[in-house]
Order: sequence, then C-alpha cells, then structure tokens
Amino acid sequence: MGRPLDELPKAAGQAITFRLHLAGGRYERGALPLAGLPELERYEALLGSVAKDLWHRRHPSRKRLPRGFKDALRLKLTAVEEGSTVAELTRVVDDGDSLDIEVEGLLSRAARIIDKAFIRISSGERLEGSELPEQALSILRQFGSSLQGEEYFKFASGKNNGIRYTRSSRAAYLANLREGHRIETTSLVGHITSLAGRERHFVFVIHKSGQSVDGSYTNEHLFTDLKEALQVDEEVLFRITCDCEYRPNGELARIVDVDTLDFFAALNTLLGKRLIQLAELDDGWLGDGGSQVSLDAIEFARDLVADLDEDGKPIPRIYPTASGGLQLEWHSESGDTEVVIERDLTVSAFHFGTCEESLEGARGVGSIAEFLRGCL
Amino acid sequence: MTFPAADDRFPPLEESEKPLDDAAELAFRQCPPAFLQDGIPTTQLFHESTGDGGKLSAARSKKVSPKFAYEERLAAGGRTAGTYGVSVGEVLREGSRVVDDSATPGSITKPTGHVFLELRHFSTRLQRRRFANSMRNFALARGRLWPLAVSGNGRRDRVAGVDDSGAGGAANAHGQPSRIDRSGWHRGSDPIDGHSAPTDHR
Repeated sequence: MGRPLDELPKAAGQAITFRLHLAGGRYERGALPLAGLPELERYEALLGSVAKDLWHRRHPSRKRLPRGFKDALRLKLTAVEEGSTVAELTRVVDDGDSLDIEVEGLLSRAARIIDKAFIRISSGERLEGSELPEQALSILRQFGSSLQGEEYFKFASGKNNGIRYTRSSRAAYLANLREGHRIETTSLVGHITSLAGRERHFVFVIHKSGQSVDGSYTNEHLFTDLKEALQVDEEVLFRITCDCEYRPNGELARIVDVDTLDFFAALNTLLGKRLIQLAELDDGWLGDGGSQVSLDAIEFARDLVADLDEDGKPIPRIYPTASGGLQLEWHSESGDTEVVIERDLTVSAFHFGTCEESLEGARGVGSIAEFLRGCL
Repeated sequence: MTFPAADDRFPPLEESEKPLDDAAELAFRQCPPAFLQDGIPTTQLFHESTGDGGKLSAARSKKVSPKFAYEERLAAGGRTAGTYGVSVGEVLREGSRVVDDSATPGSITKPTGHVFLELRHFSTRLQRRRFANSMRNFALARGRLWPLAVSGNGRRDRVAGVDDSGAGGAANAHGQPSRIDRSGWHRGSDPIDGHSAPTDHR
C-alpha cells in the first residue's frame, strides 16, 4: 500500500514508476532513513546512464543527446511503502511528446538491464560483456555503499523471490572487478593531501610507507571532515576505515570508499609519536611472533591517557604485547602500575605498592581511569 | 624419573634439572627491541611466551657472558636489543627459583647455559605479574649488560672483571666460569633509540 509523501509535489502525470525495495536493519522500521537517500540518487543515475547509452546505440549517427533529454530522465520520490521500505520513484511527464515516449521506453529497458546485472552479480559473474556502459559500472561500484549489517536491496522481484544485493554481495562484486584484485575493509593512518569535492575524490598519504593513494567516497557528508583533515598540519594524522582495492601482488591500488575518518594522533607530541611507532609495527615484530598492534587498542590507550592527563597524572610508557594489544606502565617511588589493553578492548590493571590491587576484564575508559586515579 | 622437590611450593624437577644456589649468579634475558621505550624495558621482559609452560628461559652467567648470550641470540636469527640480568638471590627473594635444564633433552636446540626461571607454581595472573614486575625492576637497576655504553672517546666502557671480547663467552661455553664482578656492570646506551643512561620515574 503506497503512502504518499504530502510534502513532495504531486506528479503531473505518472508515465513510469520504479520501485526500489530496501530491507533489513534501518529499512525495517516503516520509513526511509535519510542515510538511504544517496542510494536513490545512485539508482536514478544508474538508470539514466544506461538509458543514455541505449539512446546512443539506437542513434549511432547522432553525437549529442536531444535537447531536454537529461531533464526527461529525472525521477521523483513519490511514495514510500510501509513494511520493509519500498521507495517509489516516478518519472514525471509534462506534455507527453515524442521524446517523453522514447525516454519512457529507454528507462524501462534500462531497469531490466540493471536487474539482469544484479542477477549476474549475485551468481558471482563478472559484468564484462553486459549491456552496462562504463559510466554505469562506475556508479554501480558505489551503489550499496551505505548498506549496514543485514540490510539489502531487492532487484528483479518478478524472478522467484528476487535478488538480494547485500554488503557482502557488493564486496564480492568489487573484488571481481579486475582479475586477481581483491577488496578488503581496512584502516589506514596518514593524512589527506588533496580533495576534489565534486568528484568525491581525494589523495591520502599513508604515514608508514609514504605511499600516496587515490581514494573516492560516496557519503557526501564526509566532505566536511575530509576538508578539515586537509587543512590541518601534516603532523596530525587521521585514521580512515575504508574499502581498499589490492593488486594481486598485495599492493594497495586505491581506496574504493570511506566509511569513517577520525583523528588518530599528532606527531608533534611525545605521546602521539609513540602511538604512531606502535601502530607501525609489522606482524612478527617479536621475531618469532608479535601481532600487529590493534589501532582500536591504540585509540583506547590515547583516550585513557588523555583522561588521566586532565587530572595531572603522568604519561605512562607504552609497549606492544605479543597478542597485538598494549601494556601501559607507570613506575614510581609509590609503586608500579600496569594496564593491559587486549585487542578486543578488555582491560586489566595491576598495582604493586604498599598495597596490591588488580582489576581484570574491565571495559571502557571510564572504569579503568577510575581504578588508576586511586593508584597513581 | 622424577625426584621430590626440595621445596614443596614448586613442582618436581627432572633428574637432569638442577636448581642454582649461588645467590650472586646471574640469569640473562634477551630483550626484544620493541620491549624498550627510551631505553627502559617493560615488565614483559619477564613474561613467558606461549608454549613456555611456566618456564621462563634464560642463560646462566657461569656458562656465558652477556655478550655471548646476545650474539648467540642474533646468530640464531632472533631479535634482541641487549642482555639484561637478574641474580639467583633476587629470584629466590621473590619466591621462585632458577633451574639449570641444559642437560635435559628437548625438541629444539637450547641456547648455551640454558636455565629457566620457575613460574609454574604461580597460580594467578597477579602473582606472575608481580614477579615479572620485580624482576624488571632488578634488571633495570642493574642496567643493560650488553651492548655496553659508548664513552665520549668512542670506546666501550669496560666492565670490571669481565672479558667482553667474546672469547670469554666461548670459553664459558666449554665450562669455564666467567669472571664477573656484579658491581662493575654498567648501563648501556640503546643502539636503537640512542638513549643512554636510562632512568625510570622512580
């Protein structure tokens, strides 16, 4: 059952309607979350891109699209159905001229081509030789980047129960893009050196290797954060959590999409320098073992030290642990205190002084800081 | 065949395992570079690795010199930033023991003069951490035993009574006791981070 959105202008005529089915997670709450809107834009762009390509193929002698063609492709969100979310996208017809009639046919055909593409993706096929033009493939790479957890888009609903396009289907698709390339979600520490907002493109320099990596992002809200990161001193390092494309030899080829961007550490402080040293230890730093230190553990240590610093507590020495965690140590005349931060962020603390105390299996900076205030 | 332990706090020893009883003798540990910050070692220098089974490996000073132990670790492909040591007396004072197990056959070749610091009787994490913390403090107070600090004239500081040419270690490996004067151990600078005469907050 459709639920018209009163605040949206009504369509003058409804020549063609597309129903984009979004389900799971945030889409199970009977409304369209705002975070899903960029996906609707991408779907519109995808349809438009395929429709334009179809038109060029039908008119090989024509170099330019007819006047008004791009406007004729525009869609409007005219309803959101309840249950799992179905967004109804409608192409508004003003006067029903011959261009309108042709565009309507092209969009219908484009929708079927896109459905077929998702069927191929879901069965692990690559899209080489499909009817999707290069521009559509580029849009398709970004489509679904806002999906979280169990959320999915449903395509080709007429075919059995339809095709589910999930976060993992997208990862598999991206990994299949080029022979031997793989996509992995990872975290990188470094700084931004250039940013082009319109193209959603940036360059990120990885601090450890000095490698400059081209990156793109789909969440337009990241622009402000990226711009801020670009403007600060290069000594301030950021952590980005992102999908990265790796070449068959393991080299990082590019950043496909960014999930989060956060301050990591400043190299112009002793603590920041030490945290970076720890972040840059390779697997095997102990010789026969020694796991790479978890960036989450480093951020936990950073936040804990900052919390204690507010009370004037001394900065500890910070060491890696073999399992990829950290050990913080304070040694003074009044006693010795150590804090162990595991990879999963469970924390233990031990104090050896005139009295002996310990706290094991704690979580969160607050509880461990409270324990330490009594010891340091 | 096992013998009853002399001290019932500890698990029984194999026939080939002999507890050390000279309180002045040292047990050497090699410190991985990442276990130093500003030349100060972490208590993890005295934590056992996975698979150690409560026996913390070390080398005894009556069989090897700090230099020999250091070079032997490097020659075996291991990573070390230097040799640190604790005395048998310090280990005993903290409720443990040092056991020579060099004659006990094992699946891997043991370093020369192999001994272990007993951890098996510590039943809690707190006990093991307390012990490691004390050992680290003793080792730090004694300073790094090899490599030694480089003086302003570019020469290594000599350690009184110790043959640090390396021959002493080799000789010791053949059973000759080292000539070590504990009071002569100097603190060394860290060849990795260049800090010399490290100090703790204490």
